[in-house]
Amino acid sequence: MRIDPAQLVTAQLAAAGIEPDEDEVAALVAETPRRLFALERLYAVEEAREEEPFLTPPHDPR
Amino acid sequence: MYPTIAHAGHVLRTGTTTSVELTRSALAMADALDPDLGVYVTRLDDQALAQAARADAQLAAGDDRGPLHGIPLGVKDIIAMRGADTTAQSLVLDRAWGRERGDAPVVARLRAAGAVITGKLTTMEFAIGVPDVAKPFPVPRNPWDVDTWAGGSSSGAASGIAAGLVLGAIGTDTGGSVRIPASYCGVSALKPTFGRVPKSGCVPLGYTYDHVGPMARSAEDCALLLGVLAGHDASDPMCADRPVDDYVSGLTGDLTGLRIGVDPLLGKVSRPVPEVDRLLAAAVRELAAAGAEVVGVDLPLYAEMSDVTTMGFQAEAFAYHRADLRARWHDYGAGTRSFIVNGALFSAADYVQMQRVRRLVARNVAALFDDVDVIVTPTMTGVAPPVDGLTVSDLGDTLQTLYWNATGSPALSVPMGFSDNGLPLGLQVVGRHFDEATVLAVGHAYQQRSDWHLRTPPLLDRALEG
Repeated sequence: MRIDPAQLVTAQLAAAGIEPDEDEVAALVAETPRRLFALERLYAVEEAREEEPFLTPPHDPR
Repeated sequence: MYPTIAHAGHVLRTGTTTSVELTRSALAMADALDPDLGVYVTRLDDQALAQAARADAQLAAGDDRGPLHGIPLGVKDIIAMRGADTTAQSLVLDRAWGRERGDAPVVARLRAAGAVITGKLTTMEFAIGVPDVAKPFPVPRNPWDVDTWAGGSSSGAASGIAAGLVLGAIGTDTGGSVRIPASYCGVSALKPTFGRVPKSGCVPLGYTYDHVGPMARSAEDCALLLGVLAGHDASDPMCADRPVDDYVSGLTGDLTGLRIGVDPLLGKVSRPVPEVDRLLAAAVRELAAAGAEVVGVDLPLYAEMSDVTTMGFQAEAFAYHRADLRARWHDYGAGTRSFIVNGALFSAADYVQMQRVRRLVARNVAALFDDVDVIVTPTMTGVAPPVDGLTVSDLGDTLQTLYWNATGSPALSVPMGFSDNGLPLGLQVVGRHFDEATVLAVGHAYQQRSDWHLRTPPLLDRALEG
């Protein structure tokens, strides 16, 4: 599936209710390939497939 | 101005000086140099002199509160203090936030130890970004070259220590923010194990990446500070409830029996300053000469784990700032808001995946520590950049600090020399969780065999002559 960086970033910012300036949005769009590459690289770590995340709830939440 | 906390404490007790004299000297240095360096957001001269006078009276009466008694120190301006504004160097934070909260636990501990707090020190806005000349806050500059950046985000702390405005400071470190400015300014700084020092009362940046840490000229001084700062506090749910170790008695200079793993990060990151490798090799030779056995190690998934820190704390920071970014976007500095907003661009599953890789790598690194006692790398593979027009992207991949915020390991930066153009570079020493004692012992042993940490920038020398 081809991802349109501009559509993706615009949708994500809209969902977050954030309204950067045009040049700032353009910079985020330009960084999208690098950001997606970094995320895909994490998903590609085979040894992490069976790994638990560091999200353990406290035994005592007080 | 005496060079170290340890030395100042000694001369205080021999009667050669007083806390008031130390404090006046520090404040005079601030008068002379702070207009050029941008160390302070808020000076607390009257409070400091009153604290110093009290310290002198207490010491004279035999009420000795330990190695920080009467010592002038600074506090990074994202840490709450009663009696002073806390700005986080932002137009967004209510300056009264810190006054209303009262002292953060680490500030309360400094006060109980009799320290003299001279003021709130400059940072990056909310501890992230780069200097923003459009905002009404000082721009932190490097005392080795005032056209360059002090580093961040514990900027004023590093610059102030290097230039003699304070003898030590408390900073915070989420992706390197005590170690980066320490490397750039030629001072020492420790990011302790995650949870070793309570971080309540600090404006959060990354909840699972934030650390509070000591900064000073030497590893020994960092040990003295850590002995006061460390320990459980119920106000911080992520604080470790375990005894505080003795960080000082192991500072013998002898590393016999220790195994040191070296990863020069060749092929993993760029080398804008190639002399990093020469200086690292020279530092490792000194550690070997101190008795350590040196072996090579290969840090696993280096780029991935560095991204786990950067993207992870962007997501955590965005959760904290979302409401204010929506309502006050332009009150944030451009560098800060453009960094934090990336947290809006990850999915929940992305964050979970970051934390899965994080646990995997942390476990693999723990296995490395079955074979070695500490791991050393360069702190940075670049030197302080020019401050004018600086952007976050200018730093490239020169930050070799991020990895250790994800693992939560204790990591110390100590000066290891100068680049060919005269700017400092740091050696990073990393240890097992809660083994700050060994990390500090290695840093101290190196500093017994080198004097980089005692070098002073020319502008300090000129101010002392004047």
